[in-house]
Amino acid sequence: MNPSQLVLVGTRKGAFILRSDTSRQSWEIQGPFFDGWSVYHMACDPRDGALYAAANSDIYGSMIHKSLDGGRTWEALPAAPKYDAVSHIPFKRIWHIEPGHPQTPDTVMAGVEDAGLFRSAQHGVVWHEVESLSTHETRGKWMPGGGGLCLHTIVLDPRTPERFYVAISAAGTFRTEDGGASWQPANQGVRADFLPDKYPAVGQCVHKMVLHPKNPDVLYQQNHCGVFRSRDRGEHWDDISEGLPSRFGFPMAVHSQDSTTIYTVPLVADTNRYVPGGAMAVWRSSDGGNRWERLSKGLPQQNAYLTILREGMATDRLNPCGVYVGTLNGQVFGSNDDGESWQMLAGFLPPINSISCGSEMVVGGSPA
Amino acid sequence: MSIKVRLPAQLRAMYKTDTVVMVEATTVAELLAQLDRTTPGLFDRLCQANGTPRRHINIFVGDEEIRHLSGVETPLLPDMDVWIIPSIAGGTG
Repeated sequence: MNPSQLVLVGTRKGAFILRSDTSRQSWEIQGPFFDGWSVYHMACDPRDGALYAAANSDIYGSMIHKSLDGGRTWEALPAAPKYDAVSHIPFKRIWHIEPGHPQTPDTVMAGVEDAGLFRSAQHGVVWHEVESLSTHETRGKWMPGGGGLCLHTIVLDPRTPERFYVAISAAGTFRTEDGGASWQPANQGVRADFLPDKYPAVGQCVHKMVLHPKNPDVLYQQNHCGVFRSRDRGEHWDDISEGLPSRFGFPMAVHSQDSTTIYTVPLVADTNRYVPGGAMAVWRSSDGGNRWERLSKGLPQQNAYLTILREGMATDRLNPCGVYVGTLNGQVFGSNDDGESWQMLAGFLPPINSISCGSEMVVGGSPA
Repeated sequence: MSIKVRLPAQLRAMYKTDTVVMVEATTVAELLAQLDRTTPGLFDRLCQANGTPRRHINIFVGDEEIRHLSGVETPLLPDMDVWIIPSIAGGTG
């Protein structure tokens, strides 16, 4: 039997799991899990198949749940990221959870609001603040975007656990080369139209950033002020927005096999956050952002004023590549052919915060 | 001294606890710490990092909410019931 393909859906009212085989033609929906909790992000650990869910509540705070059986049952982890009582940084919620590097198999990381990075070396049982980032010399210039001052993206370099990236709205991208001991802003060439200095060292409003493991020197980001590409690990960025209907959007994803094929979903503008013309489309570049094409076969083209948030798109690891988009309006759209055609996998879920992909494995072993 | 504690339904479901939990404690602070020993993580669901109850968490000792008593230092006497109740909410979906 084919291993199950999972689409993990975090919503404002709990989590759902969409399950299919590798054909990805029909899907079974399970959930809701974590009733009453807003699930900002979920992740499947490619190292061992464990699933994680970052859940936030206005009443009970933030916590992380873990599943070792493909999401059928969940355990509330006894600890979650939080700033010390003496910290001057308020803790508001968990935005992102990221399984660590394969060379550090027990490590899990989480990005939180107000912006900070937490790391667990024990599969999420105990968490420690990465103070080198919280106390970064540029922190005084960080300011909250519309969603708050949040660390929402953690990107690993597959070659070494010493190098990884975080992205903060609105502070920009930061890179570490020493496992998180120190951080360098990596924003040169990225616009910040909302500041007097349009190209500052920090303060950019990056919305989502990705890299492809086959070509990890190249980064792509959808920013508040455009789409950008770096070919040198974030040292310099080029604007690759030309050809898109808008510079604004939230999500960004990369193809499972081809490191130069990327996806985004432009929205009208920061003041009008839905797809242009009420016509849903995913935009794809197959040459690293030089040319863009509009993908809409199977997507609603009339009166579809849909919003997709920063975690609202993901790709699976299969070939052809599966691409999945979740909307704030509660739909999940999926493609099993690189984005050429789409079907609605779920139509009436609660507002969707996040989409993630995974495949069901025997935890600690190989794919079932 | 055993105190009878009632937890919010949402937390009972999440942590798979009974409706009523018996806890040995002489103050609310002791009670919260003891709850966390038997159900790891529960303290953080109820309290902020400084140890005081979260904004929307109400802890009643008898009929009185502890913010009107001595906070988490409120003493507990035999046969007292403690109710932990989230604030009522609505209107935002």
